[in-house]
Amino acid sequence: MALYDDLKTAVIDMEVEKAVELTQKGLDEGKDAEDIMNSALVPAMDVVGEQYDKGEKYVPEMLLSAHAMKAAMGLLRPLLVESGVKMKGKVAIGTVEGDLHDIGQNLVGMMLEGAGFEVINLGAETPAEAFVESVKEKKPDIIGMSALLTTTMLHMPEVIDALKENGLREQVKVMIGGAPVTQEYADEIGADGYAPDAASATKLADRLVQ
Amino acid sequence: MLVIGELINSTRGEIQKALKEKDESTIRRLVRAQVDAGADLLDINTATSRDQELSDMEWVIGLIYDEVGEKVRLCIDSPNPKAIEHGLSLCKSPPLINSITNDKKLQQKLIPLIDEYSAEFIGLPMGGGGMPMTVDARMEEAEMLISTLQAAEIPLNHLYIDPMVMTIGSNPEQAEAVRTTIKEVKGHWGKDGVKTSVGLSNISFGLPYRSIVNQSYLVLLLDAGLDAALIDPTDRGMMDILYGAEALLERDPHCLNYIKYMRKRKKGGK
Repeated sequence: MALYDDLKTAVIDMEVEKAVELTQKGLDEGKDAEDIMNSALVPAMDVVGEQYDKGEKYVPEMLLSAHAMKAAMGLLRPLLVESGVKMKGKVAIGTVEGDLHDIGQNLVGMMLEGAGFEVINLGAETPAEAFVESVKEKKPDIIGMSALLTTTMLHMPEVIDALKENGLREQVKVMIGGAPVTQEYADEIGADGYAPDAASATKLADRLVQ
Repeated sequence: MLVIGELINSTRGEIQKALKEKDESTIRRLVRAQVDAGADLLDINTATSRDQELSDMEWVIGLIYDEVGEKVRLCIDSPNPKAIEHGLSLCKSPPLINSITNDKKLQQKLIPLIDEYSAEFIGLPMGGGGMPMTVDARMEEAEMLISTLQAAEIPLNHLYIDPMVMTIGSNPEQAEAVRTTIKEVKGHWGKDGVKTSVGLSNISFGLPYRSIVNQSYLVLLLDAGLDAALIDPTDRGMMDILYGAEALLERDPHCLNYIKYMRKRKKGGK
């Protein structure tokens, strides 16, 4: 479909207005919101994520592509909700207590949205209680924790413990990431998965909701 | 400007691995390279070793002194006051602590150490309320930190305010905010001896050819009055720019440091 190719290209090329315009055009032509999302927006963000991982794209470009995708999703989301389309899953993400570095987790959030997940962004410096509250209230399938500091990484097991204390651990998968975090650490604290970068985070999330 | 060599940091994969495998030669090589390149201090961070942070720090400090002698100054870098205390006890030359904030619990532990060791220290203008994103927010936090230090009778000329550099990849306006904060800190408290320091390379996270951005930013911050920076001194372009810019900004009387640096560089030394 030429329209889908153009829309995909618009997102990859960071053209916000064009992405919105083409999405609207698709809807006007009677295309299905879910189909637009899955056939154009999701594949576009896949490409962007791959390019970023390979070092071909850089943070500002990724942010702008994500912005274009989000703008297009703004048109689609009400329709998706209305028609009861199931998103792939719900992910609550946050950078743990004491850690202000939210660029990484924001990228992960955008990639997850781009991959068709519903994302609840708890933001930087999210205390354990806020993770617990979000699991209680919003019932995400996954919580994603990020830490960029060796100190704040130590709050990750506290969040897992807090989930256990509240009897919520079985309801939700836990994935973690961030510069000092390793697979080894994920195993040690009993997380369900570790992702080294934003693109692998979406793959991991796909796996965790299977 | 005080050059703090940033390479011995356990968040870097190479160091994490060297600590784990007790690989002396990697540590020695990086210590030697940084000192030869002109580092005034060496930052030491072994925090990712967690329960072995203290013993790893001791191991690294031992290697440093063995490799380049006991005159080199150390910057003890840890979020853990116990590790800082241990590091300070091992320093043979005047130490620098990296870092204190407005976190009261951290202050209760670090201020007595700063006092006991007459240590210089880096202060981050932040408390528990999130990252200060404006010049005003940074200045308010800096003022709070300074009044706490004054109340504890800590000499202000031991303090380096670090306004916290963020990447222009996601927050382009922060480059100027940090630059302005440096000017304001120097304007307000420069007469009391308060200095400024940055972790420079954060500026270029997520961008290509990072050293170009790092080097350009160094010039801008030197112009604003920057006194110290965590940098990679083995980045030769960075050191070239540093000496060139200091000569231009009259921070190098008669350009003698620049001449000395270039004379050494010509001989093949870095």
